[in-house]
Amino acid sequence: MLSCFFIQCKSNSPADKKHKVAIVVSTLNNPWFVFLANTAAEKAKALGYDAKIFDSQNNTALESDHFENIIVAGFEAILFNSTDADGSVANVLKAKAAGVPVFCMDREINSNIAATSQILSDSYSGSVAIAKYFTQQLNKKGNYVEILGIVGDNNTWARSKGFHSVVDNYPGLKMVAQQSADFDRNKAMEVMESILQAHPNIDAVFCGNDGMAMGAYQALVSSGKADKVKVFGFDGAEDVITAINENKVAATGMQFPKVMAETAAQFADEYIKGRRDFPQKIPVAVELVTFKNIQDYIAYGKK
Amino acid sequence: MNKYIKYLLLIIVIGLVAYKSVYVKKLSEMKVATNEKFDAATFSKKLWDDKLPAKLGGAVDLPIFINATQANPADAFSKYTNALGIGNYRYALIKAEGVVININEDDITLQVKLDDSLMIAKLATEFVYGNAIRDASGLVDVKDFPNTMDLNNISEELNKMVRKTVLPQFKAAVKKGDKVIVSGAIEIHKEHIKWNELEIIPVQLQIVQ
Repeated sequence: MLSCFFIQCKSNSPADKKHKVAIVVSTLNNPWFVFLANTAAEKAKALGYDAKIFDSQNNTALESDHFENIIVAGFEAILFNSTDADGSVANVLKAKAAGVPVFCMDREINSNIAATSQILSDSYSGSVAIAKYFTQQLNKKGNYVEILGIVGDNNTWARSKGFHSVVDNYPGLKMVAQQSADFDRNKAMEVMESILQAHPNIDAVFCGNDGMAMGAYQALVSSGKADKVKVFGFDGAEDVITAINENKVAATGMQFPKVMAETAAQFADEYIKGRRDFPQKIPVAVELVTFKNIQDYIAYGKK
Repeated sequence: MNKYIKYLLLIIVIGLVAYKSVYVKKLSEMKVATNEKFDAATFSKKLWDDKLPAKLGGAVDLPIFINATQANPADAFSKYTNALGIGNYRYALIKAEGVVININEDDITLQVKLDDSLMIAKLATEFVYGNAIRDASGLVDVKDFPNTMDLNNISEELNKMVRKTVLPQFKAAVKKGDKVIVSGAIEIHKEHIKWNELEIIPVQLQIVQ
């Protein structure tokens, strides 16, 4: 018993214990989030921490289990990409109550008192820039389709609202359909195929992420309309950067997952070392990428 | 007697498990911030009337700004530009004087005199959107606005004021060959500066005959 006590003391001594940081990500079924999670883990390791990635599989209940395990396992910070803006708040509050700081990456949660800081893509402003280019490309008139992301995610609505804050000022631009495809490429293809049957004469499609933009593009290729319909995405994913370079996709909003992941890991390190004055939300600029400036960019960032 | 102790222990165990399993939070605590309605229109109008004119008075002359960025970009961005978020975009309030060489559907082409050369700049007259005015002004601090939409709405309101109060009168009066003095905001990508694509978002415009 006495020896067990000493073993226990030894394993908990600060000198021998490596601090642990958890990375909880909404899904690893999308290369963009894989990049976000891996970059956060690499940065945490570079700062001297053990880092473990948890995949929520777009499931708030699974995310909740992850948080409970993380708290019990003694992780000292969570770098978090939420599954649901409202549904994830309780998990973050639980971590806060346990004294574990949470730094949100990319996806916002609907609370200003739960996370220590939220480092978020400026989705609204990015979509404003896309919408301006969209309106110019369509000469302020035409029929278009909007494919939304997950309806419970704030980015979905920030992108949609930013987009509409511009295009709705032009009565010649008519949205003939607006449907969700959950940020999923295959769903977007099915949604687009179905929309094309009801609305064969469209001029453009705005998608809430690049995966859906590629799905919509595939549907357009299958229906022989790819040359006529302009596709706009959001993310800066590898296949869309290639597609813009080949003039298949008109534009995307380049997000910077590396900046968000590294800032979150840096903040966690600073928190563990004693800093407490973090801004609740920090926007990370999104950049418009078109055929004209594609040479300045690579997937997930700038050259 | 043993039976009662057993039940008592069982009740204590169930009570403890239930106490640790259920968390009750007030809904108001979860949505504390969303209930506070921010009036972006009033806030932006006050900014526009009371604070922005003084800031525009101190705007840097465009040729000075260009020279500064060419001489020492880091210093120039630090001295003359601002941005609310992290990223490559920086915003500056500038003053420029130029001659109208073309009036297009969505913008006006200005020929601006630099120290020993001329440059072409676009004056936006249709697509006045984005964060250039809000960020360049330096009047808005991200720490004061935990709700992201409030920040977006400030940009919207400032841009709306340009579109509705500054541009209609100017567009109706401006002619090719006019000399124009403009104070406004510009967006610069600090990694890829392209002066030949410079666009000025006007806030104050004056046609000088």
